Amino acid sequence: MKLDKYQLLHRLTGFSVVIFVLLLAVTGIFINHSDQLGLDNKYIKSDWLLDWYDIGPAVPPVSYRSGNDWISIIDSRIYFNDREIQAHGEFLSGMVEAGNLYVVAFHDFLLLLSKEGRIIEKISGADGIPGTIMNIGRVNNDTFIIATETGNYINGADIGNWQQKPVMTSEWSTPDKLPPAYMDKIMALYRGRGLSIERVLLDIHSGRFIGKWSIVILDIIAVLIIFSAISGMWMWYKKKKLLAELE
Amino acid sequence: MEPEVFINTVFKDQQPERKKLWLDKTLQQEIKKILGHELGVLRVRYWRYEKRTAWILDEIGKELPITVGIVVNASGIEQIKVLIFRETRGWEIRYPFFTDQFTGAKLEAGNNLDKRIDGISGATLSVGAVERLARLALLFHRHSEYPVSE
Repeated sequence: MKLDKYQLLHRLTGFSVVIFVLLLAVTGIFINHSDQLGLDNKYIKSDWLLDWYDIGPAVPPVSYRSGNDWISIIDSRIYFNDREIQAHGEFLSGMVEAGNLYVVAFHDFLLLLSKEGRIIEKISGADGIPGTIMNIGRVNNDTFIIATETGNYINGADIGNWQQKPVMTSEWSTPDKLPPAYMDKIMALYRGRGLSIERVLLDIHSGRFIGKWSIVILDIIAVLIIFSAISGMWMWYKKKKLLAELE
Repeated sequence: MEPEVFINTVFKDQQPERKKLWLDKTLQQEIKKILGHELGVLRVRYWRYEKRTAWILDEIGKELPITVGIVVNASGIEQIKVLIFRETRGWEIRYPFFTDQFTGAKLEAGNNLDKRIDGISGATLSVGAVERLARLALLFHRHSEYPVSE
């Protein structure tokens, strides 16, 4: 093959990979400085990107109501009515009123919330919770009851000592259907923190962003880049040789 | 280790009092300076026997909360134990070679520790979380009834 044909081929491969080389270089720089730029804590808002990644909860949200207020869990994130609160939990067991507070039960801890949804306190196993909390119910205005595998225990909003009692309430907290307006809002909040910019950059950089064909496409691009680099060096050598012969 | 087991181990045959520390606005501001964010609660519980206090505190390393038990006495931090570690990386902070560094640490100006804590490669965020909780426990102890001697 003549040199001018190599030049044409080199030019074509060069142009065809230039976008990918720039993409790799730019995403590479951002990934290198991801910590400084806080890209793992900045989240994608675009709906089509979130849909592309199929961002959504692993299991459907679970909600409980007490009075006019709602508590919901999506994966381990907790929502009071339509806003997220600064707490993590695994298994939500219910919510009841006690005094001027809400007591929210998880399997292994309680959250005391003000009526406005502010967290007053987290009560963990170290505070003497007598077992895994399966349910929570209201006994009277100031007292609540929890059902555990070791029995039922009552306490007040000040969380003193637990007293074992037989079942004495019919007001057990039960899961309920969250109003659609709240559901839409908390799902938007959940999805809004489901996909970090860093993850998208890593996926673009590695090629995973375009799915199952990414490996084949990246292989082709890699071959083109290798060809472009070798043909460039070969042409430079050939031209140098020709010039030497002419001189 | 479960938090209740930690408290029982720390106080053994003693009967510690369960106390509550309300976090007023001034204290909330100091907390925010230490953590870089709000603690998110209005009061914390602790256990006290004579001049020792024990605290169970949570802080997020990278994505999930790390639960740490901290005992403070008149000489500073007596003991730190990582009770529940939920992150996938950085679990090396559970080992005594790391937690023992905090023994005797006190707060100096700016609510910083008066000792240098060596980090662990690959566990930077978890190390930072435990260090912040150590400072927080010392701050809380200072506001409890038996402060660390300055």
